[in-house]
Amino acid sequence: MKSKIYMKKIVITLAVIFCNLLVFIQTNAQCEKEKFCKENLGDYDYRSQSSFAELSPGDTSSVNFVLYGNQRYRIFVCSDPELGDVSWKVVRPERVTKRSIASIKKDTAVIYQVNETGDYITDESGNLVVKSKKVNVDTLWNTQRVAVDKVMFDNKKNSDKMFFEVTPKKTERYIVRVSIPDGDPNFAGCSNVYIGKLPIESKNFSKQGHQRTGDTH
Amino acid sequence: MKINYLKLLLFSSISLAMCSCNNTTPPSENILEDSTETKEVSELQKSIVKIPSPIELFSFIYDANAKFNKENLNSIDKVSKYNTKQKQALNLGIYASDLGYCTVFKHNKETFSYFSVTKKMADNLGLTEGFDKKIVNRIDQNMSNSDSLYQISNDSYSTAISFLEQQGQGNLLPLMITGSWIESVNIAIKSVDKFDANNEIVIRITDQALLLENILEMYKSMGEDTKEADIYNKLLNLQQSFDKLYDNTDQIITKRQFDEISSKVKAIRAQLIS
Repeated sequence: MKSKIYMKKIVITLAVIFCNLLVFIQTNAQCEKEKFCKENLGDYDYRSQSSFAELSPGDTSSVNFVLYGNQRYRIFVCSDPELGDVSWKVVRPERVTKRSIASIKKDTAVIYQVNETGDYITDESGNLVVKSKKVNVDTLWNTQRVAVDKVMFDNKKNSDKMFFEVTPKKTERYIVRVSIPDGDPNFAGCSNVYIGKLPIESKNFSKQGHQRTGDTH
Repeated sequence: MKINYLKLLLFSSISLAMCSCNNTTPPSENILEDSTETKEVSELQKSIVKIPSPIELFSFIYDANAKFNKENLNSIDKVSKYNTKQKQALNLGIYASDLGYCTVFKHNKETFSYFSVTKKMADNLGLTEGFDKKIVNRIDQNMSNSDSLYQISNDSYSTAISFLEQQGQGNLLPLMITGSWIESVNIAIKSVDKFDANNEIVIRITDQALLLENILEMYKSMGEDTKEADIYNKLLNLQQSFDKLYDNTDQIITKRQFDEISSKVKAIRAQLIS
């Protein structure tokens, strides 16, 4: 009898865990399905690097991504209105190389005399005859690469713009930093970071089903 | 009995907490030592790292008029060899990348074969969301429509990635991404007929340094025990070769640097598909 009750408890517990897990999976999945700011989407493809998360008041979040050079992108953050006035920035970590002298080495290079056939000349004791001496100064550098964030867009300073658009000249890393204002810590809502790439009409992608010649099968 | 029951509840709560906080790290770990802007810290910071889908790289390769070469793909006959979760995650990424290559280059027959094998790997890992019956039907219905296959392939890839993220399978996600990234870079390298620093594909290969940085960031968020140290160290070693490009002044990459990167990528890929 006791074991039956115990089994029942296990089954109930596992069911609760499973339901919780499902809720967890689905809430994030719901965030993905939640189309906030539909009007911002435009013709961009958001599948590659967008991020969908559930955040609570006071949380901050960052999404680190890569934008290819010479491609057009649209970036924006849209959140559950109940999260309040969410602030977000697009920053570009710029690599800066800092060099400092680690040490200075001084080496004396000796140049020996040679004869007309290029062979070294020796003195009476058999030692090579010194032609000249040169002091080589070799500076050893410490190279440190550091990332300094450059703010590209701040929604608080661009209240008239709903999104940030960029066409990087070269491929670069970007970060979107999201900050949820303080509020009820028990509340959680979706805060989605949309990273859209404008599909460029491919030079070779115009005809449906067209296969180029010369491919190796 | 009561104690065991409570233990079970406690254990399950901890398991659930670990699952849901996969992407959550203490603020101090997210501060770049050298950054001027990133020192704003709040109570909780969630950090998510993304890289572009391999399909984007294949589109650049396609636009550069590279030829499709079936020899570049991982053989579908190897699928039964991959019987650990790690190998399955790595090769799910590799096959997903191959699938993307076939769709971008409009090789519909291969697209179907690679979709089937990718689905099999995904099923083994329980990723039925990304490759469900609806998608199989869409593939069937669009066998002759390359542009639709391209969209379907793109959808499946992003759904599988999202599903792994949502399920908190943090240890499998970097492996799958590593597999798909290495395969795409390997295909890009093999698509270069003759080295030229100004070649569009070569330039896109140099861009991969930044994607690799993000992949390594993903590994950093993994626990030491699940980090797959061997793969991580090989990627770090590859990063050293990419890092040399930052010192170049005259050209973006030299032939020697290209060969060094190619050789390391090929070696890692060979290990992953073995």
